[in-house]
Amino acid sequence: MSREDTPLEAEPLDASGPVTLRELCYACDIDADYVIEYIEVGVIEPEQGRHPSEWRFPPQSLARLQRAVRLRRDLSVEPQGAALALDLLEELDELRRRVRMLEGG
Amino acid sequence: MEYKDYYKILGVERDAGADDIKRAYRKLARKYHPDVSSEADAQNKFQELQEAYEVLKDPEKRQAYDELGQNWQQGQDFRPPPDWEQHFDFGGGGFTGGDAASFSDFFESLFGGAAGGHAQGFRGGGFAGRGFGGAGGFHGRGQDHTARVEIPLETAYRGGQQTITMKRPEADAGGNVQARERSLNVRIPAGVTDGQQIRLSGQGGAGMGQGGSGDLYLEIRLKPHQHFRPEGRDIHLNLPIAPWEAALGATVTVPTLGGHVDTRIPEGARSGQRMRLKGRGLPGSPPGDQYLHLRIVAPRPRNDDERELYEKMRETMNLDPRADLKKGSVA
Repeated sequence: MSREDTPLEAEPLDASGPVTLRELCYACDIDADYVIEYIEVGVIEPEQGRHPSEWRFPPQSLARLQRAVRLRRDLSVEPQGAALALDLLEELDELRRRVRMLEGG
Repeated sequence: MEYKDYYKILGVERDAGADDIKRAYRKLARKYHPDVSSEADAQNKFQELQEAYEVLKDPEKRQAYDELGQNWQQGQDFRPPPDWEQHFDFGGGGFTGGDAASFSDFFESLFGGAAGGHAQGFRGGGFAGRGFGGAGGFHGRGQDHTARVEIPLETAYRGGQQTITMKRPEADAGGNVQARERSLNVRIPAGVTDGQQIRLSGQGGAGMGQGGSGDLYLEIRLKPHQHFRPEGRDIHLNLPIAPWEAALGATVTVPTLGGHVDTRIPEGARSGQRMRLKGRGLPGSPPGDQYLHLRIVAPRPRNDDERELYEKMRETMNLDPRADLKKGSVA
């Protein structure tokens, strides 16, 4: 077990601004074609840029896309299904959070 | 090491067909997938499932596993038969999918580690991070990795150091990939929120050739707090108040993440009413707010004096708390 004593600096993603197509490809370990497939079904959406090289995505796109890729890899969920699953899962998270809030105290 | 009953893990009979096994795996995988499941132990369960499926879906591995016999019990102390290695040749090549880097010692003793020196498995805190169908193409730069880290709310507020432990695959001299524990001491910036990702540059997989290392992405999870409930940068708190504080107004001391503050409860406050302490949530631009949810606590009378007070209220106040309920009723 290796251990580094000087703490590593972490960079919050929304502070570092929007993410690029290239960053999404690296972070999810998939090709641009796959990312575009996920864009077409609305899993993520570029917030600006006309050409793919200019595309900028909101920082939370990264976690969403990674989740979609894991759903495909582990559960064979196709992009269209992943878009639906992610929307429902997010809604479920929100509802669970509200239940906790109402039940808490 | 412990014997693993792969049939039991997948909930199938020992003579189950390939289709039954696939169906059982898919059903359980949906239930326990860490991205989908709310089960507390989902990560470990899912890992177990993947391992069981890795063995039972592969006729060669399944046959080998079956030859151990049926008398073993899940969790029983296990040692592989002495002639195992000669008997079956899985020499490092027995890995066809799944995330072998995080499979059990039991699995490794039977089938060896993952094949080849190409480290494709990674599991940190949360996710099975195997490469996605080889679709990554060939980048010189190392892979980006993902993990989840759970931190106390106080750390999100102040920022602070957090040690995280991850399992990651490393290739040994023989080219076998094995999971090694690695701890990182990370400085969490102040103001991170639940579900947010932070990036550690160069802490992902090593690059090839001239390529630099990949990055490590950490998804922040906030540990539930006894009193405070975070929502983005806002913090919610239930604030119990006495009936007279609600009725007459009062200055009360309220905990916030940054310490105690005094705040004024307005005269005639209602139960369930929300009050906002601006800028007292998690830091950021703009910082979050803290919301107080007022809860009026009705005290039980403990003696005759207190009972008399209630009786006096009953006579003086002439309140019908159910007036609203009568409006809609059938006469």
